[in-house]
Amino acid sequence: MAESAATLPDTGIAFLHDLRAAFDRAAADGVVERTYRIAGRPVRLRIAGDVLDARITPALAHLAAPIPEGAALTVRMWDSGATGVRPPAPPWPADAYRERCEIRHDYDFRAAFNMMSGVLSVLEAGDTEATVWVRDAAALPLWETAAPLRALLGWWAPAVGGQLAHGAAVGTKQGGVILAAIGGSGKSTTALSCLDAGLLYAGDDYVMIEGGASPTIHSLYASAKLVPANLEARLPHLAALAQASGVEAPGDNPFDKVVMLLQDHFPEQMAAQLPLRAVVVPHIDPDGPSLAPLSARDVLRALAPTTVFQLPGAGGDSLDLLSGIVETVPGYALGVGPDLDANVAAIRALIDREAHA
Amino acid sequence: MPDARYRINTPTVASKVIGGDAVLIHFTSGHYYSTDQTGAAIVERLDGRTVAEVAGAIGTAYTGDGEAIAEAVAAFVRRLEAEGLVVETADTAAAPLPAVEVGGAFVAPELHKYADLQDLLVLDPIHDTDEAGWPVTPADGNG
Repeated sequence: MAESAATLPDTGIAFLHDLRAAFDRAAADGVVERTYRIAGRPVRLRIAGDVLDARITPALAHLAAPIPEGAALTVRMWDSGATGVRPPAPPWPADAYRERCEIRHDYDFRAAFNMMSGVLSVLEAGDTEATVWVRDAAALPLWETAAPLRALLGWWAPAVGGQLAHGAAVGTKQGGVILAAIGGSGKSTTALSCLDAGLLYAGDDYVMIEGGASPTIHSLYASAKLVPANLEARLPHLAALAQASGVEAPGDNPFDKVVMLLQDHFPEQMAAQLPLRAVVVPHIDPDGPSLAPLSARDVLRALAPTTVFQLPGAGGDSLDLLSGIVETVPGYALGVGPDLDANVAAIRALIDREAHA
Repeated sequence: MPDARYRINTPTVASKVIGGDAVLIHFTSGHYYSTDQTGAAIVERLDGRTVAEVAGAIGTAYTGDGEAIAEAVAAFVRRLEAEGLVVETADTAAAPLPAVEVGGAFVAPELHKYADLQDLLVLDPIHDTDEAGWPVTPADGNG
């Protein structure tokens, strides 16, 4: 990203120009302007198409705020389904599409294309201007609407001193914890249990962590995803919040979860920021809840791979930042037991203890 | 092998020594790894140094048969290479070889490999493209 725009290969400059021009055409019939504070920084979304606005913005609703000082990041978004406007032809070859939705190219901008959702994300050099094309907003999978703009925010996070992390985050006025683990560990059920019990909530899948002397959790999404059977068995009174996942074969797909958009139901409990008190790695424990210190290595092993494998472009820098955070705050293994209230009490007690440590 | 120099296979691989242990992530295979104190000491020192140099540093810090230690270090490096975590390099380390601070009886390092996250690496190299060249999947109804 060291090269200036003036020295970019012509095809890269032309692509960015044509991409913005395509957005302008899509926006000719109107654009929805939304402003947010994400990680405390001013962000503006310019959205062409009511359907796209309705699909993308509910998960960000808790971060909506005026930004009189102007935007640190402006994102132009449109979808072809509603506007009929197509993006320019890609300047890279057909074999440029790689793991983690990355697009391998030599241009001075970041690009990712998610083939499962049909979303192209482009962040220009300087990390202040971005464009997103969605093939058809009406066909966006629910998991995309639960965590929109994830690729962009993953690239943008280091520009504001942060790093996306795969984990849930809950807390109290005394601070919060990240629940970091892969699926099937009780992470989402525990996070929703905490929300249900009145704790603050900063996300169940992805949050931003800011390092330094006082690590901070920044909420990105007021959403939750849960395997339908777990929701019905463990938190049936929240089932009405769930939307059908739209996946044909329940249980066979890692994305096959119901999605809940939480801002309208728990507005007072959505926390934009929480001081990070500990990283907690949950696992199912029939005799739980139990809590035991966990080595920094094991915390990093639970937090880092699952984070970087899902973020286009994440590499050694992400591992460095996550390890710095893991070395700064304590780590615990949480045995998630069958009594949800007891699990919540264990987390609440842990936060209280670490806040006064 | 003793005179071969290795380095971490960046940027395909990232490694971090934390709390004296190491975590390594392979970004294209979807595997990740952890190793203990001895393994971490080796990983941390394989930065343009020969296997013999690293084995010498390990042998100085730990007690045990020198030849057996050298063979264990070489075997561990071979395993790292087989997993694509390190590659041979012609570059020589610029910094002096740091001493190994942890001592005691030598225990052969183990490399723990995890494959449970491979599914997260979304890659569909076989796809059709629309008329403009953008990938489409059968689910799009356009492919």
